[in-house]
Amino acid sequence: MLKSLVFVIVCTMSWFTSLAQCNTAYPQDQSPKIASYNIEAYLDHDAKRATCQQTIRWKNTSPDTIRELRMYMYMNAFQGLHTTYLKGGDSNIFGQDLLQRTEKEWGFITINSMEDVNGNSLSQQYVQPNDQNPDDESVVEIALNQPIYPGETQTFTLDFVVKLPKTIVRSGFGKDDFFLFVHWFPQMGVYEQNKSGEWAWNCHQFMRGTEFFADFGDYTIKINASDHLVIGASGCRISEEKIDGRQIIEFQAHDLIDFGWVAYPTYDVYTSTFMDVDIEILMPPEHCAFADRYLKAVEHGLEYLGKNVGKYPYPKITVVDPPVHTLNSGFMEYPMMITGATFFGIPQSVRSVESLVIHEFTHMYFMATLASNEKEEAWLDEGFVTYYEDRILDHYYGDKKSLFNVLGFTSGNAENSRLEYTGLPDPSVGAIARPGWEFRGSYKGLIYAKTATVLKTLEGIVTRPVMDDIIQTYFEAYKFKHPKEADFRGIVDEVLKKYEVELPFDVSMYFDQCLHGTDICDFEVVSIKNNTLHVRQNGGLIVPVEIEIVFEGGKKEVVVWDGKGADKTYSFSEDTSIHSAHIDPEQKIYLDLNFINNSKTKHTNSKPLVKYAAKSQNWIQVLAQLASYLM
Amino acid sequence: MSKVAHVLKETILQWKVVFIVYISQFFFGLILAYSMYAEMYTSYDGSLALEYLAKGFDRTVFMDMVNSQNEMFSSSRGLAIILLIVYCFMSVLLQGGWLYTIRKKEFSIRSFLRGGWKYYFPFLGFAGISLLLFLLFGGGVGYLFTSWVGDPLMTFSSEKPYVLWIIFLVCLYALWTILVWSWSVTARLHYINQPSFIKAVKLGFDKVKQNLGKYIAIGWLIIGIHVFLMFLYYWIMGDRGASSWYIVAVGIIFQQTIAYSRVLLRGFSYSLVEDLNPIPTE
Ligand SMILES: [Zn+2]
Repeated sequence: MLKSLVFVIVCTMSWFTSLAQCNTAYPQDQSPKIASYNIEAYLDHDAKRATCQQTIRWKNTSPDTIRELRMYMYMNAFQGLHTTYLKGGDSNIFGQDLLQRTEKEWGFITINSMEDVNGNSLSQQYVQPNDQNPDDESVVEIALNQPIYPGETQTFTLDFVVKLPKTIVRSGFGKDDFFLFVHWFPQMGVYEQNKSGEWAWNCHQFMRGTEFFADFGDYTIKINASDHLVIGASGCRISEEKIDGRQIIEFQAHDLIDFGWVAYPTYDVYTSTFMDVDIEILMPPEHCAFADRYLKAVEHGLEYLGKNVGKYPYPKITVVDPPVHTLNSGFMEYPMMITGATFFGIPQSVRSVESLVIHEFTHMYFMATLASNEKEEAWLDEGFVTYYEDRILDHYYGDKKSLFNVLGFTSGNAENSRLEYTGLPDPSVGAIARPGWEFRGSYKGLIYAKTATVLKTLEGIVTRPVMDDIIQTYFEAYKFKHPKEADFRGIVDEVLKKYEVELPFDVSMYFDQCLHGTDICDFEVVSIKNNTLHVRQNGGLIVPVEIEIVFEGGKKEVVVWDGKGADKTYSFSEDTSIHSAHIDPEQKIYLDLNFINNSKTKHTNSKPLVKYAAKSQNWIQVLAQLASYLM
Repeated sequence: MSKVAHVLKETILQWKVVFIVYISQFFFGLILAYSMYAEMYTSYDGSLALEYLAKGFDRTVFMDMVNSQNEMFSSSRGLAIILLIVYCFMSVLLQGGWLYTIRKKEFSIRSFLRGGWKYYFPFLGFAGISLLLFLLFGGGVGYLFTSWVGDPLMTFSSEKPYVLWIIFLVCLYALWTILVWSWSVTARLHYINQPSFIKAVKLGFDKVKQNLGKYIAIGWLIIGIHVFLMFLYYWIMGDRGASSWYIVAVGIIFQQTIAYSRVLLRGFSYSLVEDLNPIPTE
């Protein structure tokens, strides 16, 4: 019990820091490599900007002839309050008042020149496919001199400058030369078939509530920066030299959809290897005591996902802990690099640290590898990630106490996810399967928490081995692709066909209701009278559910209700009398908003009521005593 | 050593007074306990969810109820605040009687009641000054610190020195509380011998200044024992659930034993302070 209060503030790490060399045995040819990048970046840390030369190799995998390219220019979202990303957020967006910003604190990205392989200069213009906001420059269209034919690959060279904003969220600079470069280079959109089957650019403007959608490719990034900075990045470090107070580090990564890097002078670098994967952790010195916790969390993620989903597809993972003064750069995932967040003194039994690191690490599967469209279908990564975050935390730290366990107050991670959903002011506020920018306020409760609870409920119905089979099949079929909802549902159908699912269950209707509908689930035992049981579904969700009935004398019976219709009455043989009835005693239907009304018994167990009443009495006595000292 | 033995002996002599104070706290708590029981009974009546609570704390069982009934625990919360405010006023009465018995070395209930009524209003004045000193210092230090620090994350290199500063300020605040409490008890003891409010206020300050080290030691000792009792409770009880009436009963008895010890500890602290302030022989 007292162990739960141990505050770790002493650095215990002895494993430490020679720079990791990646395991070269890892496959380097796993993806279609549609968009690959070489970038040489020169960082002027005083001006908070990088001057860069870039080469893009882009392959046309469509049947169309391409005459213009579209690219993300996401740093332009931080030009000022007129951009689509920041519009309407003049005060207190991401906890900051942006009205007070000086010129130096805004960011931008500009392509100074772009040429095709023949040296033709290419013209560019900003386009606004989403909202026609003429002030938004987060997507650029490049007119080609020479079209790109189906199957052809072309190479382009660019000079660009990227100036970081003072961190608003994710990318940016912070105090004491902290830099996080993400969404930082001109990056190709995705040319793909849209819902109506036509090929077109999928290249959304940067809007709040959205993150990634890009094609796989190889990255070679050479960073030239002052040598007082410690640098970490997606990918593996392949060369390093120091000249005249500067360092030139080359990183390489294969089969990624994006690349990010970080620089900060006081980072301590901890390295380790687990299951053939190099783990590199960058910690500011005040957080050194958390390095061990970060490492354990990554190891748990590697082990659990390796066993239950598939092999981790990269040779390395970099974990970046942002200093608290630039905390908004934390809580994120980038391919092969994640950012955590912690605070000096968080006790070991509060596992927000582990929960976050495991969450972001799980994105290496759902986002980096299964590269779904995070802007249009955020639930496909965030929801799946939360589902596994719950499973991993609960597996390693205990079902009902994995998230925190302090002085007898405990919570499991899955339990927490469900409560984030059921605790929404209105759990039926909207559907999950909507683009991220359509959400207001309920984003996390629905996209993360409800999706995770939908998946856990599915697991409850079809059983965990079947669920594991579904996810493993999905991962193998769609890794290094861009899976969509229909792809996942197709896999579910395919796998369920292999098994005899005994319950009367229409999985297609379940997904329609859970993803596109707003129906809730709330089973209730309305009454037990002699040999009659009356149950009700207060919501509209149709799922099969078990009801356990215990008769006077101890005889038990389990009936399965298909969940159709609002009310159902069961009558049992006349010589019996029901003692208690419990809908879903194993809490398989985790979406149920209220488990309290799921049961009724003739004999209330008042022992816990007395216990908690006595506890409340004790608290008054304690407070009265304390107040007496002051009066 | 003999002094400590003497104080301990005197503490034991106070058992009747301690019991009255304990019982008064107990009944205040009982009112809340009844309200909580009634609220929970209405909400959970007949649900097997209570079986989960019988195994130990269960966040889902509480939160499902809070989520499905917005009013859950709201009347108990309001009641708890009222009870505490009323108790604060009553506490002045109890403390008056208590200090009177210690000063007069008459540990009878009759003496306790007589002292309580006799000194209620002047002691309310001492309580008012204590509260004022307590709040002024807290507000003052808080104001100075926040205006010095500004945005802590920009002022300090990281959150670590900020956290350490907060810990330091909490300790400072505890120290200030010790001093205010020492003054408040000392001044009241002197008031019992010479009923001049101003003089007692001054004597209180003089005596605390004179025996500063000893007062601080007593204060930290009392805080230390309180913290120890809290840990002892969590260490032994943890969350043992409520699987049988026996476990529930043991939990309540242990809880109340500690509650009684806390009140006894206060008697001990009064005796220690009294020992530092012998009645002046003029
Ligand atoms: Zn996420």
